[in-house]
Amino acid sequence: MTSSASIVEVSGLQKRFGNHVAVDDVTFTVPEGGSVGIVGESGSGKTTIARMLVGLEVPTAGTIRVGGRDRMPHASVAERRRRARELQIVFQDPYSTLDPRQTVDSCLDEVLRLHRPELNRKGRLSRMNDLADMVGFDSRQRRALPRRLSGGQRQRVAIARALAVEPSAIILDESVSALDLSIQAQILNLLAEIRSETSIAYILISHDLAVIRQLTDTCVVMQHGRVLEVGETGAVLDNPQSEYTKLLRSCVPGPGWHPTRLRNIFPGGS
Amino acid sequence: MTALNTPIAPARVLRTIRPIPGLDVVGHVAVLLVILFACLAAFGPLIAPHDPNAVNLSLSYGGSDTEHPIGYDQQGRDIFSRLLHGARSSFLGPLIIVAAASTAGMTLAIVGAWRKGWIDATLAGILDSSLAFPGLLLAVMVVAIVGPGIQSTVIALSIAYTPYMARIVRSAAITEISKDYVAAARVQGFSALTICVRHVIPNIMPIVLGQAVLTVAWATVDIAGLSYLGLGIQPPAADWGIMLANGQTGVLQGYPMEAVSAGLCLIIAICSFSLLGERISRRGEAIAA
Repeated sequence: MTSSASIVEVSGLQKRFGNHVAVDDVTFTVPEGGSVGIVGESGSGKTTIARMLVGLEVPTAGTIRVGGRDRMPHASVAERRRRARELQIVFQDPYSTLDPRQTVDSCLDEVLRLHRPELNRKGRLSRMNDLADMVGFDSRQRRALPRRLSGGQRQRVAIARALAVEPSAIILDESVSALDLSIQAQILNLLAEIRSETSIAYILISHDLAVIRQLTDTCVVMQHGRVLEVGETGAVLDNPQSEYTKLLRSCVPGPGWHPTRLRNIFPGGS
Repeated sequence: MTALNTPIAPARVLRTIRPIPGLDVVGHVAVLLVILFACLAAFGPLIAPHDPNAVNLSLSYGGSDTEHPIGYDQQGRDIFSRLLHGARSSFLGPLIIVAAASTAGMTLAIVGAWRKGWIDATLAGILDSSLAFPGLLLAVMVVAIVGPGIQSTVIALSIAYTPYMARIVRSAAITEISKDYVAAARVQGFSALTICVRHVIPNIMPIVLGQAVLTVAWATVDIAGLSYLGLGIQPPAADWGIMLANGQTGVLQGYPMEAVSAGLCLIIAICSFSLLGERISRRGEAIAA
């Protein structure tokens, strides 16, 4: 681990929905250009953290610092644009992540018009070419509406749209979970490539330990909205300290794996 | 090529008109009739062969002849010309009502769906309780206060139809705004207005359009009804509702042409707008699902 400045600092983060505590006392940091994984089962508060980071939900308590500045709710238009250039997000569902009436090119163009107003038509076009190359789109696909694209292609458009802003960090909220394995591998390779080419930081949210292992340096294990374990990804996954991480690991199917084994671990489960 | 020099035959023009995919036969008939009525409303007064208000009492209830295909009304006015002029006044009111109610309803619904929380709850409460008042009753009440006339009835009906529009748009807008692409646009720093105008409204437009066409049908009935009662458009203007009222005495005396022709125009127009509106709505819902 380098001792460089951190791009995202979260401390004591809490979110309540009525009486339900979705996220409780979560603290972690993401170094500049680093890659942090957040793992946990469904409903452990991973997505709520992501939504709070990008300002789609307002935290009940705790602070979020991005790029050294506190994120307070109700930001001005200029402030929201600046925040957009710090942190972008790619969502889980490839089928609702794009406007069904917008082609790939017009989707990217819209973002460039907002964030790169200094570019003229030619400049935007050359930037769009770069982005399309990065995610592997040809000119025919770039003129296509989302309904003509597969799930994996849509997620690649969503990644390109996030990259168009040139953010310091991208949150990937289960962004590959809805895709089949070979497409998942393609996207993961793409993400690894992008990271080696740019100095972008990742916050990778997943329930898939293999994905976390492949792409992250540090990982945060969560259960019921609380952080159970934080540490270097390899160490946490190979030598888990908490019972829950051991349980998560034993849920991954492998040679000789059988669901009946889990009966001993899940009390009351069938 | 010689083919380019040959004059365009009518058959070739017809071949370029293709059926609309996903629309049944009834829908196609409705589309054609709606286009016909739209043309009548736009050009009817221009192609009317006679002055709709030229009175000739010696021709009272005169029968049809080559110049006057439907004959004369009680005051000896040409019924055919009055029908053509009536198309405009019968559709202008409903059109203004629909434009006003759609704009107002869509704005209220999207503001509510976007802001959520107490703003949405308050708006939904106001709209739901205003649904309890029949629109026609509201119009009659306004006429009782302001006096009869087309302006007051159009304003009253515009207000009365706003909650219908808003209720349907609201549920569509809530679904659309909850989609990830809207969240992504927010994270990218686009303003709420930009996102709604560029993304949300175009995507809910099929539902708005279907409801708007249906509302044209309902508003036509309401305006014609009010004009029939003498509360809406005022005589001697040619209007289908007024012609229906005037024609009553003729029906009793054995000259039904005025009432029957105006009534038929209304029925066909209202049916075609209803049938088309239903089909557009259904399609919009299918796309949204």
